[in-house]
Amino acid sequence: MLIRERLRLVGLLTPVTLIIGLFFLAPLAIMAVYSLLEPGLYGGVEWSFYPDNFGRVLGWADGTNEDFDPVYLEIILRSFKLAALTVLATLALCYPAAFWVARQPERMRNFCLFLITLPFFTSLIVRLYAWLLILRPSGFINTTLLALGIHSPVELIYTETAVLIGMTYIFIPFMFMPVYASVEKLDKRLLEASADLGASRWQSFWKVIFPLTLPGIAAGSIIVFIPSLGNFIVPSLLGGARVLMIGSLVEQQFLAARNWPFGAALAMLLMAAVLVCLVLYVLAQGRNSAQEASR
Amino acid sequence: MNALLARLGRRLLGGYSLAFFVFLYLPIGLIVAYSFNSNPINMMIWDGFSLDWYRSLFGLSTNLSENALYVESTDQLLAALRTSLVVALTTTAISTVIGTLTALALARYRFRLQKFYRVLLFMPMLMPDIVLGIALLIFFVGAGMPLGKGSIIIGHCTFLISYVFLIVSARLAGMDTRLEEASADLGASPWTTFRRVTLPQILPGVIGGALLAFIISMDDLVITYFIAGVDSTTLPVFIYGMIRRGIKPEINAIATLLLIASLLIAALGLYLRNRKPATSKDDAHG
Amino acid sequence: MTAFTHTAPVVEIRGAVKHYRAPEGHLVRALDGLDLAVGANEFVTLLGPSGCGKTTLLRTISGFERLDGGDLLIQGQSMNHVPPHRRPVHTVFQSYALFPHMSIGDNVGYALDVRGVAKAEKRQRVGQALEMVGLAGMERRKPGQLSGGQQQRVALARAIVDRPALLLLDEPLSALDRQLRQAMQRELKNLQHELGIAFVFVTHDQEEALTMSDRIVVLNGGHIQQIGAPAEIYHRPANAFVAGFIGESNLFDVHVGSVDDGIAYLLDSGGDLLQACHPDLHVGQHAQLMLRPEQFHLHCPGEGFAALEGCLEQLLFIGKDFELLLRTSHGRLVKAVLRDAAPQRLRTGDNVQLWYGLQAAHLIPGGA
Repeated sequence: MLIRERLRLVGLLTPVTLIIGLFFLAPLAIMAVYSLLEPGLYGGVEWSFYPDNFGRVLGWADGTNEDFDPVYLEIILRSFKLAALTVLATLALCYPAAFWVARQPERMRNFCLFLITLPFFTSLIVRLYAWLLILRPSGFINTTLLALGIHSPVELIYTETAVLIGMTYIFIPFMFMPVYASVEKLDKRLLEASADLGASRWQSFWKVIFPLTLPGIAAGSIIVFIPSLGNFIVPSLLGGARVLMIGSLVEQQFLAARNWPFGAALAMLLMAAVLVCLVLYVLAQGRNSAQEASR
Repeated sequence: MNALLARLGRRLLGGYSLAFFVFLYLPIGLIVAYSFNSNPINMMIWDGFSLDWYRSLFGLSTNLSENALYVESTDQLLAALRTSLVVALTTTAISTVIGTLTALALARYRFRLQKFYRVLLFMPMLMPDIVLGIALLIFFVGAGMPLGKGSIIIGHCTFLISYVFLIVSARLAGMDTRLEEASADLGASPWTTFRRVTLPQILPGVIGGALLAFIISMDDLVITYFIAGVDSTTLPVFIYGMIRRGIKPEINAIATLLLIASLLIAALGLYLRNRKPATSKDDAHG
Repeated sequence: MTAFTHTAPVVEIRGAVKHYRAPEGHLVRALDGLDLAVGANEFVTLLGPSGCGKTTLLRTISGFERLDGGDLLIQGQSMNHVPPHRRPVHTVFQSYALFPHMSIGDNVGYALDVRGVAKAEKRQRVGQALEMVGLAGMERRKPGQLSGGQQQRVALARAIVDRPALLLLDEPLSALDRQLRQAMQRELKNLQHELGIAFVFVTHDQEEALTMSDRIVVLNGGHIQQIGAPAEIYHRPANAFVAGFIGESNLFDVHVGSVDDGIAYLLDSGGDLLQACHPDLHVGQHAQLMLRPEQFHLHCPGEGFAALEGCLEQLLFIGKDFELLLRTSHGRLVKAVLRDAAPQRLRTGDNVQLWYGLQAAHLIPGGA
């Protein structure tokens, strides 16, 4: 490449390199360092190597604080559980709908897609607030039940169910798009071939349709799982103090407890979990395309 | 029998899908409905149509009695809105320009670090917001930077550049590169070629990216929450605070207004995206 | 390689080398040490099969490919460090590459716009250019509204509006149907005369090359096989490749058995006997002889002719001629194209003689 061209290229890439280097990579690196530092007495940090942050996360005592206390471990496990359940819930809800939408004539299809992606563009806080209104003791559900004559209010708010409902609601558009993309690509003739070879509808579904939609399901799952895992808004609004997730913990450590190293350690664990998911996903993709190639 | 089952199945699927869409929009519909409910005590019980909550939002007088007035100072609300807009507009401008430049670099030049940059640009989108938020907080505090509009703008740009990059890249990939060659062939310098040929072709992508950046920036809560500092609040953070302090009917009004704004912008974005670009072989025959 | 006119050449290429790495990993020489000079108002055609390097050579001149070795001079100035947009050369692309978001007028006027020419002058010159290509008055339309042939003319007008020193045309007629193509060939030739500038035209269609060119450059594998006027290329191909690529030919690998009284008696590798009068043929020599199908006659026209004998394998009526395939007793197929009325009475299997002039055969240098 000519020098002239190379200069131009460098010019084009400098802004993004600076911004991502300085405001993304550097902060993450510093956070990694912080996770290994000792928390200062009044907030802030002591610059000494302190590996116990990670131990604390898993519940081990660090000499100065509590004895083995799995409370943090509980929170972490709950986060994984809720994230996984969110994936399942969004998948269960979106999968049939994707098939129905794929069936519609083009105009209707585009309209439906528009309807489904529209909430994504509306304010997150508004959408969660709506569920707060619905699930509160004096909220929509209970008021309706009351009107129907049922006098025992259902306790929905500030439970894991509420958080699950909230996250499912938020992440439906994220799951729908990849799943729909792979459903739309299905070739009707494959179904015909399957029937021709003697498979029942049910068998055709499990042996032909479902495997072909797996890429979309996998993509959607990753897109939903990762933000669900680290979410803190939904548990904050709909879970209250009773349902804490990793995100809530991190917020606490940074804004209330002022134990930044511990919070950083939690964030590192979150990042590690995300990376593991991505690696697994990429490996699965690789295996999938290798299978395709070998056929 | 099989055909009957099939038809039943199809009916069920249709019915389910209807329920699906209702589920998606019922919560939103409730907010809108109740923003007009004049009941100041229990907003779930319909007491008649009223614009009071909207009025109190803007500091106008309402029909409510003195002690029914819950609203925070309108000034705070408007200040939050103003901050959000300033941040969003600045962020959109910066990230659109940088995102477009980066997309051009990776699409039109071949160099050794190409793959590395692609991965690098993907990372901010994959990282959970909370990790980004606290990392930036640690960074700003450690570097001694004041937390305010500037820090929010920086934080937003960091991941919005990636979004714009993705959208503009897609657009560039679909473009006929021979048009740029023709332009150079006819004597246009690289800058002129970009201005007169490339940019008009990718403009829908650039605008789409800008709109997306604007919406995401306006709506961002988590990252802003950590790096906004004490003096600046954006609209989502303000509303979040309001909700945390207690449910008030004014929130319904704000929410409805926000919904309408988002609806308009989203509709605009989708309209722009569906307008197909002009191609030279459109109606060519023979 | 002499220039066509006696004025200085507008393009000079010396020792051009260009290589790239194939996906399999080995190095491919797209251009292998080429020398070429194009005169100031010549119509030169680069002709060859796919992958021969003709498009690479063209793009080297326009600046979109950079040479790995050798020199390129345009109007006497070295272009090795000059980017495409600063060369006095314009290209008519194979896919036209019209700007879809601009009107025809803006497309054609683009080169002028870019140089800051005044609006009034631009309008006048655009009008002129469009008139030259037969599209007067189309300024307001958009490319999407035009047919393929019309788009091609717009591409042409766009490239000539500012009178470049040289026009490059990259297989511009390949997308057109046969009749339109032939009409455009004539128009292009006329246009070139009218403009008085050099045209470098790339094609794989040898008929096209023969029709339009002042000189043809035949390329294969990155090497120039032959440069010359169409007649020379056709009647006196420099090697077997050119002989085979241009027109149809019967090639004979022969061994000179004896030379008697000026006539060489040749034995073809298949066993057939040929005769030729050629000063360069000596006893014991190996050579390649070419006889074009139209050089044969069904009956002996007189003195100085010899014949190939054989069995009539196929007789085809192709409009203005008859195409005849003869199989010799040694199994060799010979193709002849005849105008005589006599063929109508022939049938497959008949014994036939094909007569050729002793001095008609062309000796290909280098031999077998």
